[in-house]
Amino acid sequence: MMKNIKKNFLPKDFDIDSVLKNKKIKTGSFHPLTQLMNKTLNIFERLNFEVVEGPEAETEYYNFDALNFPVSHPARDAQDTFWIQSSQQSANHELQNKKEKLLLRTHTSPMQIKYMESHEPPFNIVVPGKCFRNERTDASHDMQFYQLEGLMIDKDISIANFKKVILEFFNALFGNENNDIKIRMRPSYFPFVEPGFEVDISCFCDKKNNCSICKGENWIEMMGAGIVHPQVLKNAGLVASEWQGFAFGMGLDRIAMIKYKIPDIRLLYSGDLRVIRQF
Amino acid sequence: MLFSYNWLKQYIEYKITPKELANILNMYLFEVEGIEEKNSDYIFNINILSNRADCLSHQGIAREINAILGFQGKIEKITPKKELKNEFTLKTKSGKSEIEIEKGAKCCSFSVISKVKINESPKWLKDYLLSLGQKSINNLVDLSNFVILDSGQPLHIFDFDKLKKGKSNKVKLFIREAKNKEKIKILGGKEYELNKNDLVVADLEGPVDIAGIKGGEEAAISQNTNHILILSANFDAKKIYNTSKKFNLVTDASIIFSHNISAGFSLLGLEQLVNLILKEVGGELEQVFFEEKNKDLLKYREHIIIRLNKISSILGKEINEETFNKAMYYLNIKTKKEKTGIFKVNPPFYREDLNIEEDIIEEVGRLYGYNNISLVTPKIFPKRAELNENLEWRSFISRFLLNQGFDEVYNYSLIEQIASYEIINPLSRKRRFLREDLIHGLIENTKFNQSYFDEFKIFEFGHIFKRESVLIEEEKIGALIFSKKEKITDLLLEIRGILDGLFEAMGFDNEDYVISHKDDILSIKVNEQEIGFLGAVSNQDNGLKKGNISFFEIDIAMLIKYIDYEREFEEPPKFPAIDRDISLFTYHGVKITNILSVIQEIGGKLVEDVNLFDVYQSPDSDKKSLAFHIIYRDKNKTLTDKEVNVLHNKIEKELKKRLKVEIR
Repeated sequence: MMKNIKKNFLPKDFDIDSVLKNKKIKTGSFHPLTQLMNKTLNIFERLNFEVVEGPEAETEYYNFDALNFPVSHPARDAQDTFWIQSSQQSANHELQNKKEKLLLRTHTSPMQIKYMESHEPPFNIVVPGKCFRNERTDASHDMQFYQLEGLMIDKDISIANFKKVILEFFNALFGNENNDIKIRMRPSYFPFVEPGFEVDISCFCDKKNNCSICKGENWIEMMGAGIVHPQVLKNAGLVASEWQGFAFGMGLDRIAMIKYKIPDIRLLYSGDLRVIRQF
Repeated sequence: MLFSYNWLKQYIEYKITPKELANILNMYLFEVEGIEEKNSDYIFNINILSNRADCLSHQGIAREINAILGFQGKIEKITPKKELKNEFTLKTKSGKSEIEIEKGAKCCSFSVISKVKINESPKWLKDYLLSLGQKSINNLVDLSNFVILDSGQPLHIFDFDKLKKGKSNKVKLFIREAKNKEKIKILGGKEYELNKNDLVVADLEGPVDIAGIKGGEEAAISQNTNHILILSANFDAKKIYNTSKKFNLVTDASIIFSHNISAGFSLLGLEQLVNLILKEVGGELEQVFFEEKNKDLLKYREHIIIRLNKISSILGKEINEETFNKAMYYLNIKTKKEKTGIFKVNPPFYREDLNIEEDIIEEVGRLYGYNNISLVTPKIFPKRAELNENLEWRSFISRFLLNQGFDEVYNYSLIEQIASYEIINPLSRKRRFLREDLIHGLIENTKFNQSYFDEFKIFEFGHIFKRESVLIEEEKIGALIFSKKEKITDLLLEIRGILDGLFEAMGFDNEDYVISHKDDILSIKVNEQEIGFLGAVSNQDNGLKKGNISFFEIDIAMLIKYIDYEREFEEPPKFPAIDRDISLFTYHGVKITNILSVIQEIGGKLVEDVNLFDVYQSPDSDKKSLAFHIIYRDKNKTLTDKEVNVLHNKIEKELKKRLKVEIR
């Protein structure tokens, strides 16, 4: 067949060498965070999670109070949170209702409350989004970053269920036939969950001591999680004794850096096409 | 916080290597951030969780290690050392001094000792402090520092003779808010001006200590001191935190008080320090003061009701009574069985973090080990999760742009240029305002990338912030084309073409949107609603070295609102089309849209499509040359040349008449 085409259709003086000089159609590149986000959301959609999104500018109520942060929690401080000046505030600062103070959300967790306020359980949601922290920037910290929040509420969702769901997720994201991801959980504290823990996943390095990701520890810190605090359910208008479930949150920038071996988080927001076009 | 392995070992009746210790701390308590071998000791850097003020001390961590080892069966029975027993045995001894809490402290107690002999510290004390990076000063100061690190209770020692005496040679101290502009010089000589938000310990004359943070120089102990007053109190956490932050004055004491340490420790700390001083420094106990009722601070806390089935339900693992009781026993939590599966439990005084059933469940889960819980697949939900439409369209749009050669960028939401909303506490001048559009960011990207590329296309999805009566946040798609070669009009046409293509792909028809002038920018309207804008920037502006830019920005929510993606079958045309061109000159800024509407109006249903295929603007007059391609078709029959000619001529005539154009 190919022979026939050659004989019959190509011009006699056709120089086969000339196809080496092709006319490539240039397509663009997705930003690495979009690629990771798409992959991540895809996995959760297959696990029957609904993707919901929320605003980046939030009130103090949704970002802190409703999530059971004590009034004097250090996270509310200027050093961690960007507070937004609003005209009413500058005009009449003292009379401003404290709960209406505006800020740039420091995590995607406000959507837990907002979603629960308007939906009856059971539900499974994930919330991707841009978050902000007022901290000095360096190779692994920037003033903005992306987080993915998860929430699963029903009558009796347990830690055992969380482990199953999250292991499925990590295996879908990082695993392959040679690499079965393992997870481990360590106690931790976040005001909006109880119990609270951190989740580590096994490193991909095969216990090499010079591994730049796990530093020979063989474990990589991946997310904070826990069972939703009854006060949080109550604040969102649910009857706390009837519902139970887990929440988790993870930083996507760090995972992108690990997955794509990007050395400095700030490269993600540099707009440098020499970087973007590698993906 | 730093902990000494040798120090902790004193309280643990089990041989455990530093590595094993780090492992059990990590898995059952707190993260160990590092271990350093130093002076034949191992120094652990432990990240104490913010709700566990009871663990900001060696005794605190030792209590936890014993609980974990006990639960694991490695320690048979806890026979705690005296320090871990939380017993207060000091007796009141009356004396001449008194203290009054005006504000800002839950409790306080003190002791006066005379004839102390300040000297060098014993070796054991020096070694402990040295391995934790603290310099030895003298036996008195060192013991006070030791007690903070050991019991977690900060105390302060005053030189009694330097405190102001009142009537009948009595010392009176106050814990109170500072007066406005009141000054204090602290140890080391630095002076601070205080106000009513700061707490102080004052004598009859003025402040002698920034409460809970650092002592003043005036009544500080020196090598010649022989008469001391030891003060132990529990100060208001919020106040200590605020003052410490305001002055950027962080001490071991300020950290502990900021975390809201249990008030009971103030009694235990005083007893420990008094006994250690009498033993290691010597002296005579002159006075001990505490309020009898404060002994209640050491009692077990209010009971919490806990159900075994709730523990099992949250953990997803059956927990039996024996396991539960074992966890409670080793955590020093008292239990009383109410009925089958239901218990009343009382946490010890120092566990102020334990208040609800879930708090106790965490303790059980933590000691049991989260890693010992097996995986259980959740029950299938009765509801199918909805697809997020916004996300689907965003993905559609970005794939479309990607195929047109656009690269995706992410920019900062905070910018340098003045905008409606400002950050009260910005990190830098360059990141002070909330962005109001995406295009400025894309132009900045262009300035950066123009050094490396001659042409490129970029886009970004992102939120912007507008001021109306309240803050309005909207999601936009911004796209930009940059080229060093192309003319600005060509770039504008190209971006317009991309937008048309995108709109068509999303199910808009050409008729569905109009582009109209607004300042130097074209506004994009659908159903008379503005949904975005389109424009260009030439090389003279905006710091572009060479080259031009065209761009558009569209509101995602508005775009999705007007999408009509439902398609219906339409019979393909049965009859042929006939094409004609019109070339013309316009003057006095006649708009192309006006020409198009005349063609549509006169041509009616028989005009299937009109394309503008050539534009030439004379550089020195308002004369413009335009060429249109018109496709005529009748759905019901074959058009004849004659019929088309009549209609085409009529269109030309009307254009001349109405818009004063000149047909070429």
